[in-house]
Amino acid sequence: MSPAMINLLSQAEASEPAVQYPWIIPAAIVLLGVFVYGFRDVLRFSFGRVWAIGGVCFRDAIRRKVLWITPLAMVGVVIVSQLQKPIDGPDAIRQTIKFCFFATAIVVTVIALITAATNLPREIENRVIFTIVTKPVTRLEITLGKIIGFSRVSAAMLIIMGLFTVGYLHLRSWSWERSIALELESPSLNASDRGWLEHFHEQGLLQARTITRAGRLMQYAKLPEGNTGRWMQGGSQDSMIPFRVEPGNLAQAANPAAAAGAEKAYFIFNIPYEALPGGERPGDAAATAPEVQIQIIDSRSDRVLVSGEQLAMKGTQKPDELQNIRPASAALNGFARIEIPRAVGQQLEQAGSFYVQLMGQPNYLYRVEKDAVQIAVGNLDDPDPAKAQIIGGVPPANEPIIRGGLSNTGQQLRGPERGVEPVAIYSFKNTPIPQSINGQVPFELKIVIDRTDDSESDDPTLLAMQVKDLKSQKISPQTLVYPENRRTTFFSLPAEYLQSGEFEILVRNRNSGQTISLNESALLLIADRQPFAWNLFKGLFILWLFSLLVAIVAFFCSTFLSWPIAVVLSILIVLGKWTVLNLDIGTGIGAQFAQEYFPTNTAAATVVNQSVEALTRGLTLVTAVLPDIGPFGVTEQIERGGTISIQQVREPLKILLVFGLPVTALAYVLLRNKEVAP
Amino acid sequence: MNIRARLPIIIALILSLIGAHFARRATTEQRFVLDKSRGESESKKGNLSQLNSYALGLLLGGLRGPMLMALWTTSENQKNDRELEDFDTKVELIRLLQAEFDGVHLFQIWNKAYNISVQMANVPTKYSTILDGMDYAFSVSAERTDNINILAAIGGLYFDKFGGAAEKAYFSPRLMDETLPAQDRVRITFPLARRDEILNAARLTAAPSYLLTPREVTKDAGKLYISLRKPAADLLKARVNAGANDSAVEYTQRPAKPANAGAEQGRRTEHDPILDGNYRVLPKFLAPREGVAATGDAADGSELPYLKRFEPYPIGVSPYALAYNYYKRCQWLQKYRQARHAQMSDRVISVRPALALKKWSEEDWYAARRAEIELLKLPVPRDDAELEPVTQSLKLDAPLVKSPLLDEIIWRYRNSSKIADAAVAEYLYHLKPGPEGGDFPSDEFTYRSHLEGSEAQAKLVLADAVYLEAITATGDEKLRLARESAKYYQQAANLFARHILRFYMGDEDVPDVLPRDLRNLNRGDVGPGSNKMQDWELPFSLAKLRAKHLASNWQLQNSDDFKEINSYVERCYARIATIDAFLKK
Repeated sequence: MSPAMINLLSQAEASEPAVQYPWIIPAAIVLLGVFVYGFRDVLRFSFGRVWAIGGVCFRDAIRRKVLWITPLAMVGVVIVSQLQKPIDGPDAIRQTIKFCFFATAIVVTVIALITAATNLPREIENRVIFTIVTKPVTRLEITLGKIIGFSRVSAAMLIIMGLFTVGYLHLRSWSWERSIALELESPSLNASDRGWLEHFHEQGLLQARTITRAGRLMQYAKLPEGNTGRWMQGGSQDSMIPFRVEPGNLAQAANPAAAAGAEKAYFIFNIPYEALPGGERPGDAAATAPEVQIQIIDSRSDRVLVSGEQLAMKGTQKPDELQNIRPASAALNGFARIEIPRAVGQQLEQAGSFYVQLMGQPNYLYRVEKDAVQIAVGNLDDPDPAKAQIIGGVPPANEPIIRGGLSNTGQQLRGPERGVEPVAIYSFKNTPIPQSINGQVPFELKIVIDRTDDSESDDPTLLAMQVKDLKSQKISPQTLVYPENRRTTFFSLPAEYLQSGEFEILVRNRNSGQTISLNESALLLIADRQPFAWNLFKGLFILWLFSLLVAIVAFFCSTFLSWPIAVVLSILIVLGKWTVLNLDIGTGIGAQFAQEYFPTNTAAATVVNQSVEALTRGLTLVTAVLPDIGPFGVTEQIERGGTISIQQVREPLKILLVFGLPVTALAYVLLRNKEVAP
Repeated sequence: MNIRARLPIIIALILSLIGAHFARRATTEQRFVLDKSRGESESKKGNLSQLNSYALGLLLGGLRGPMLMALWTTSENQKNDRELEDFDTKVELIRLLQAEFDGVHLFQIWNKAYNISVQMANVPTKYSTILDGMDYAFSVSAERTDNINILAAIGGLYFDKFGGAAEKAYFSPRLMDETLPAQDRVRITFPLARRDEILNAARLTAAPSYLLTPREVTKDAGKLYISLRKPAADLLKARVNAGANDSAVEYTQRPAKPANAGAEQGRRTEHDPILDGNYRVLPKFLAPREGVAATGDAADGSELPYLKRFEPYPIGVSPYALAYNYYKRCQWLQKYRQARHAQMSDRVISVRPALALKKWSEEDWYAARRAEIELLKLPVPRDDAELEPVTQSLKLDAPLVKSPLLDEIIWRYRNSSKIADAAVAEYLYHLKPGPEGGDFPSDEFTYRSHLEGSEAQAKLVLADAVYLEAITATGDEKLRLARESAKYYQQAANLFARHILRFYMGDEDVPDVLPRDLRNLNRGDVGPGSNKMQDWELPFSLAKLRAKHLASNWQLQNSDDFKEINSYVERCYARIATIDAFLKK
């Protein structure tokens, strides 16, 4: 690659204005192409003629027997469905939905692509176009008419495939629901499977449910009493205290150039603790209170900003005191402090917002209230606390966050142990009052279970669920749930506790030999249900919008290319952005290449690095103008029984407007300049 | 190009096609011959998997290879990511598309039964996942009948997973229970406060232990429930209610359903029943293959030909019994059809039936021991090696009440003895040289200790059975049974003592432990059947060896083995002493 080209690509950063205002360029194209360049055609525009051209296009496609491909797709779906080996009914229906949607999408997209890409070249070749252009129709009407014709073909195919999908799915679900009814008769069915199958027996296999997520997930060693009594279990939970600081809050206060006795910044800790039964170490006393480890986490990137060791590097305290801060015991009513070194202060001011993370020692509970950690500015060097001078400070920005130990699947919630029964709390705020069935509101839960005890134990995983109404502070009786690893479990809670729209779901793990992993999306409230057919219709509508996009792109390409090349280019345009996004190419890939292939040759590494980076930027630039087909993917949602929201329908429509409309305008401009008849 | 120029190309193409046809036919015939030589019979079913690679390749437009690559990659990724949706379908498609490759099937059987089952959190789900692996193996077996690889894999699943896995305390009783004919079940709901009372009473009905882990009633806090077979529930009701109307304990009957009803389309959750109402193997499992005369062994193509000799099975068929059946079929195929396993050596295939019988007899032994301890309401040790001393001091006049649990214990002891004797015979067959046996005499060193251990065990558990019968008997019958029991205990003690001295004594200990005039004897001279060392000398040698272990603070090389086997001997001596004391009274 030439240096000039590299420079060119280097400068060609993704055009920021276009990203910020995605509608500006498309609107300009439409305005200039249609309303300026094609102003006369706009004045002569007749929708009747457009519809007639679309009808011709549609009838031509029917004559070419494109609809015959739908029975083939149906046969394919039936054959593949018969070869599936589902675990149970819900799995069978999910897989069948996937097959149906896959077949429908393939058939409709391919037909849209082929018909749109071949129509114009074929009409030019067999001179059918003469009969159109010699009539008083404008090129704008031809362009729009053809696109409408293609969309009518797609719609017809979608209607046929949609009706087949609904019919076939109902047939399959009827068969499976009978199986489930029989299966439920089995006395040896375990509790987890029973709960799972009972849900589908009651609600049917073809579902569309709207879910609501909790706003926040916290975990405590004990259930808090209102806004106080937040206890953290050492060894298995941690606390994050959020802070927001302004420039000058910390660094100036800790300026070493200031005179002796000048102000410094400190973290001040006030963390009472309790030893668990049997957890005290021999000879325990206040002087050997349990330790707390501290580090500072960047609130935006979640990476460690300042480690405990870094905090210990400066100051007058001994390193062991700094690395392992001894919290003041409630009995002593004192406090522990740590001086914030100047460099750390600057770093924190630069970060702006951060968390102070506290990690305790096993066998102890720590109370972490809002005042557990504060930033004080003053002079606290005097060993006599009475002489401490605090002239300012920064309080925590918000309530402390207490979490379970983190794994890659979420926060770990342990079972009861030595009198402590940790509780995870999902908070729902301003939640629309959900539909109740027989006074119960349904929820779903999907968790990861790890056995920590002897694997010979056959005790099933058991969770106790409760709901707490935040208005009345009333707590419901426990509902027991038997979940299975990574499988959705359905359960219900009394509706009367959810009526205020502000409530918390309390989750306790009843099995001490097991740990469960929870994350924000593990527990979901089923807020509403919709008919499956309506949801399917929305899914097919989105698929139709996609076929329309494909048809527009293919027709556009066919205005200046032969049809085989037009097909290939259309695929590149439609799939280009999706492919690049999936390849996950980002900056730094050039350095990786260079490091891998030229670890010792610096000159070659530099060239490769620059070239690859420039190519990456070029690729990013190109993909910035290509359509993102991600929002058209709704199959997974339908197969999992999730409703398609209006927002999800709006997104593909937006893409069609922002990309499809200008491409249609370009197609019109190209067609208007194309010599299609002598 | 004119037709004359094209002619040679056309002729060459036609000749190539004809050549390809004959080459393919020759290889197909060659494979058929090889299949026959491996002992495989003709397939039973006709479906996609019966199409060969060539036909499938044509059917899929040459995309069979890429499709398989995608299926393998995605299914393995899903397994690693623990996202198992569609996984079974993908594995099924791989099975259908690669039906000819045993290696694929062996991998997938292992994959499901081991790799996937361990990803399940709860034991019942693990159980049904292993059953799914088993179903896979049976599907392949139905298409590739008498395939030694698949049959050995089925035997392996029964042996290693249902019989020997860490969760065997759940798997094995459940499998045994499900092989019994279907019966109505009763759900018994009771208050938490009466947990121990209900569970103890339920155990006395001989309800399998896996059913006695109560579950909490999800919609009624403070209540638990268990589900039992109706006869056991009736016994429990009679015992718990004792004539009074006990409304705190609720009994809800649920009708029996056909095996796996409702699961015919999905993953099954239960093993199929194998037994009829008389606890005998259902005729369909013993029926020979169509057109073949019944021979009672693997030659007739029946599914479970080797289980008939051990009928009846009043508490269900052990997974080891099923493993024995399939291993025995493999052994027969290897011996009489010259079938060769792809991964296991001939000697391993030959000895597996003996190992299965040995494990089966030990399973009954330990299960009966545990039940005996439960019957006496004593704490049950976790480790099998610690079971012996717990009940050894049980008196002959102990107030043991007859109960289904006691009957089961006695049956299991007797069955253990019977199966241990069968294991001995099976080991001898394996070691026997020439065409009359397995022809592996060189395995003598490896399996002699198994064989002699089983011989001793057969006597010990027989003595235990007779001892328990003596406790519940009265008058002369009690005395007769006590004497008979003492005789078996003595035989067991002698056999175990010789077993220790022969296999679990260091060479350096021989001069100190064996009687002085026998020091120049080799180890084989102290084994059973040898008259060079008298039975009366055994306790002294054993005591000397024990003293050496004690002196080393149990740090000798064989200390753990010695301790375990010596506990059997001590049990025998303790019981003999009890019987002697009783008889003297």
